[in-house]
Amino acid sequence: MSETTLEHHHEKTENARFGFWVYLMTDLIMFSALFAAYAVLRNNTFGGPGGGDIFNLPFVLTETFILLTSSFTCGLATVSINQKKLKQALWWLGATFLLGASFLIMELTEFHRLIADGNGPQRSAFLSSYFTLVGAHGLHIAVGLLWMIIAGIVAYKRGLTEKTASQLTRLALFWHFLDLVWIFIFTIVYLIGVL
Amino acid sequence: MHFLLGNLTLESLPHEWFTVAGTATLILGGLFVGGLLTYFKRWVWLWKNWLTSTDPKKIGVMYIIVASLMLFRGAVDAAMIWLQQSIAVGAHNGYLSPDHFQQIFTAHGDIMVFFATMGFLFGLINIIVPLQIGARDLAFPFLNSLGFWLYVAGAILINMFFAFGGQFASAGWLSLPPLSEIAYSPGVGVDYWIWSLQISGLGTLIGGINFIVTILKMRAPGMKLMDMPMFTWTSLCSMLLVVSVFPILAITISLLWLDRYFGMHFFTSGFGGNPMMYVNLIWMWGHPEVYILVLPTFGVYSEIVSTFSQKKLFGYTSMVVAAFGITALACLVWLHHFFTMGAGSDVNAFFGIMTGVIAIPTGVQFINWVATMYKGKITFISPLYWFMGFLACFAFGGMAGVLMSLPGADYQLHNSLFLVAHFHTMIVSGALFGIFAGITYWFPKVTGFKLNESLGKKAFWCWLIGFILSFGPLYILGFLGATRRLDHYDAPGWQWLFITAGIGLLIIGLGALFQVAQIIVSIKDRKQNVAGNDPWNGRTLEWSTKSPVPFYNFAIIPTVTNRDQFWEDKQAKTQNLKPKTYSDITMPKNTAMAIYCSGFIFAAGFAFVWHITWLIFVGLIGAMVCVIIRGLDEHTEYTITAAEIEKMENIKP
Amino acid sequence: MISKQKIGLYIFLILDAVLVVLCFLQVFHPIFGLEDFGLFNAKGPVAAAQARLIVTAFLLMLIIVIPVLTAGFFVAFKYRVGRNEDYDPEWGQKHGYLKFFMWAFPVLIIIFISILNFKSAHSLDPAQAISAGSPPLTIQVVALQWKWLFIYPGQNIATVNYIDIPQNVPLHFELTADAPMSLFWIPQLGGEMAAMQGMVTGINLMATQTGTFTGQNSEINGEGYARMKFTVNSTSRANFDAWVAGVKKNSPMLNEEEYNKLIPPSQNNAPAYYGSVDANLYNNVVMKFTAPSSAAASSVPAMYMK
Repeated sequence: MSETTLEHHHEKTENARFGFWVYLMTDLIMFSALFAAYAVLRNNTFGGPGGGDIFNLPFVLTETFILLTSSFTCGLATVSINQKKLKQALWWLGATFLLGASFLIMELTEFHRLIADGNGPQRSAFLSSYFTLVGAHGLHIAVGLLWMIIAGIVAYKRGLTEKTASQLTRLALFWHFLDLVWIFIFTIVYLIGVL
Repeated sequence: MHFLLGNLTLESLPHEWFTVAGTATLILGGLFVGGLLTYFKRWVWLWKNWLTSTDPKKIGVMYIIVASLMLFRGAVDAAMIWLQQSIAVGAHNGYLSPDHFQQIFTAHGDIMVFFATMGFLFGLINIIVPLQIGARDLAFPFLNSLGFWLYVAGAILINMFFAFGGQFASAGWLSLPPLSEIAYSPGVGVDYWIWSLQISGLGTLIGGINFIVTILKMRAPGMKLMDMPMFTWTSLCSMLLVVSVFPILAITISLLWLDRYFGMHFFTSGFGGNPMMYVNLIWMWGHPEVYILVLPTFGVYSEIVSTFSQKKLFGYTSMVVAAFGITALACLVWLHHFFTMGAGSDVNAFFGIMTGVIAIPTGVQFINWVATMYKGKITFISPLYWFMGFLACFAFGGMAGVLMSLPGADYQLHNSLFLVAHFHTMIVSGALFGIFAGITYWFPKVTGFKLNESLGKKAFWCWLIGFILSFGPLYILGFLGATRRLDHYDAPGWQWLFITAGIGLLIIGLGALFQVAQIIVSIKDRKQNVAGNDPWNGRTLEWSTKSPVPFYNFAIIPTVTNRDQFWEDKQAKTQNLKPKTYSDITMPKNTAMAIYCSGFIFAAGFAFVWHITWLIFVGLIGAMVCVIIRGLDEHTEYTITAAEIEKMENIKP
Repeated sequence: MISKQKIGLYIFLILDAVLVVLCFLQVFHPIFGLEDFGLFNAKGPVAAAQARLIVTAFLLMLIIVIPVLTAGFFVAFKYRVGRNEDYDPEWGQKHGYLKFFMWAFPVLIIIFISILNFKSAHSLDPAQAISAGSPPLTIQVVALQWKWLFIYPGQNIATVNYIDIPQNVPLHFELTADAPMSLFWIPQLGGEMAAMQGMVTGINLMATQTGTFTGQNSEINGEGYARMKFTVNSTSRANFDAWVAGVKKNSPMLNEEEYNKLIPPSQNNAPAYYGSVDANLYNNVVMKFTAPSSAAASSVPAMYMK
């Protein structure tokens, strides 16, 4: 590879990194709109249950710890990538995946319980906004898990090149971003809802 | 059967005159184009050279072609609206049923904003911005292609109701709930509305991210932000607005869709839904959208005024500050769209004053353009004609806007035809005139020959006079107390004003015919009109490269030390120096993946409209697989050797 | 010798000056038969103030728009190619003071407009009661698909698509809807205010003259939107009282059953009159969108604007 092509590839990676940041900002605005909708509708229960009646705080707290831990293992994966230790990075990524998957399963369990109790998203505006906000986060987690599988396999097959490393770094960024959003969900939806 | 086709039944197929006509037009149009392509054996050429291209110049041209078609489509709607309003007075009910009339103005608004004006702007930005900043391509060529094809998918989906369903949304271009909720709009019209906007909006958002990265990261070496041409600046501002507000649009109409599809209660009348929240959210997107449309054309005007005055832009820094001022303020004024919804007077006053404040940066831009012309050497050709027309119309449209920013006055003017006249003035003279000016101005850069000047001037005069005749009466009708969207009215005194407006539309139509003739004649006479690389004695980098622009834009990436770099080079007589050596260039390969991907998304959108569950999954999973396959592709680029570049550069045009 | 372009410019300036003079005249003494213009043909203090505001703001803006446009066309004409003796491609790059003025000029005008904006937003706030000699007459309005129901709680009568109002008495309209959002507008008295389900919004108007005016809906709320109009008849107090007495004597009662007959969409409804009204009806209409059953409706909704 000539020097200019190397430079070209470096530029591409840099663009991808910056572009991903811009994308995350747009995603943040989407979540802000969903948060705004939740904030407006959270008291509009129309005779149905409010947050305090249906949220199981210990359960959600467990979920939160799992997701926080996954963010931590994801961070360790990034550290390993920076140290050029691919195998170690993949192990940490695997741990992140398992934690993320358990988070998602717990969330789906909670949704299932609510719907089975007759408190589905059709019940009231509050429940619509709750399911949509938390569901949108869950959807992001699912996409993140899919991405994790693919990026992991690609990195395993192709080794740690500038391209695969940058891919994994962006994935980590995405995961931390989802973690941050969850902290807001936990605070605004669950904590304030129960209090 | 329901599993296979969802809510689609035989009833959904066309059986009314307008759906049959629309469907026939679509099919015959398709057959005609297909026949031409087959006859001239151009299928492969079309696929390889155009549809799968990642070259922003070609994508830009395709944007402009699709946008022109959609402009025609929207104009047909406009003509139907005017015909109805010219005859439906007193005992006459006109030739359209109220519901059909409401579908038409809904489609007119959405098509003109999302598919005509936005398409033209993305076309111009695609073609010109990379050239102006001295880049060979965009930051993400595949995403650019994907953005374009999503826009096309949206444009097709918004016309699909002709063939399937037979009805479009009839709740106004923003489909405010509860009217757009399932309780009051049970048909598929609003669903078509949701998904065509959602899909093309996704394309717009992707494009916005792409251009921000391109402008901020891929400028030629030495080009500081404050060296960028004004069109690049205003495009950047516009794209910053895109990434700030299109996510809000996406969420807002998604929530409306959740209401309609799953029976949720975000904006429903009962069950705690809050329709006012929709009005707030949609206008948080909707007002900035106006500036997304108008800002880039402000940049076009800046380029044109400075080029045709042969003079540096007056107050460049002020222009940049003003553009950013407009960008920031655009996000702080949305409530002025509903002063009449009962917010407190302090809230109304705040948003009203903010709206008025936008007039400051806009006024500064006006004064700067005039000052740029002062002591210039002004060549009057059609781009400048469009500018002068804009200057006259936009000033009055702006005044109308400031009037309505006064809550006290808006209580009387809101939703009247005065408002309709106002925003048409802003969009037609602000955005559309600028687009036409820009197309005339940059046409030789893309094709290598100029557009016919005399037909261009005729087109301009028709547009200007037609425009004044069309919308002048609407201001007056507003003062008379006429509301917008009337399929029928009782006051006989209004009729001649509506008829005058219709005559104006005919004159605009004549102008459009002149434009079509202009393009045909110019292509025929292209040998006489060969433009050369720099036909207007231009100032910015796009004029320093060849016309038509080679696919790699610049054989050697220019180094920038100045604003108006090319002009300065010409002053120093250092322009177009032959480089001693060329070097290899890496360019993106063509890709059909964007077409496949948006094809799947189109299928998903159609399935969402008709509740065809299996097709939803096929569409979504298919689109995801396309993106993954593309992401895994290691060989998306190819290299052109220095020798090949040298050979191509030495061919005399 | 005066050049052609100068003559053109003078004509333009004179026309502008005439325009401004006409505008001023128009404010103080209508000369153009604008009584046909709904908005400027005010029959009450609110609409009159709104019309004045529109004209004043328009004139204020002309102060800057006319010079800029004049200069724009003059400059473009004067410096066109071949005629320009003093072409200076670098002009204006160093004139810092010019940049100050070009910001200061629009800022100044907008400061004036903003003051106007703030003051008018408060003085013309529709929620603000109009002070006149007599106590206000309250009329409750329900926007339906596609007709207007009016309830006079003080008089205990109701009408459809027609209201009779006493001259020089402040009117307090309380608006709600049992249909998609609609906008209540009587151009000659002033406007507009949204009527929305589950909410009550308010607007205060007054007629100082007698006559018949048209009221209309200005927000699309379905097929019959364009024909959703009502008649406003402004008469003397005595005539109004006589009208009320007449309605009371000869008309049926508006109860829930009668109201439910009004709900199905219909167009071009002739005026209808009700001699008495179920006292809870209006609140029930509002509350049916805010709580699961209308039985829970005992209090006035939170979003009540006075």
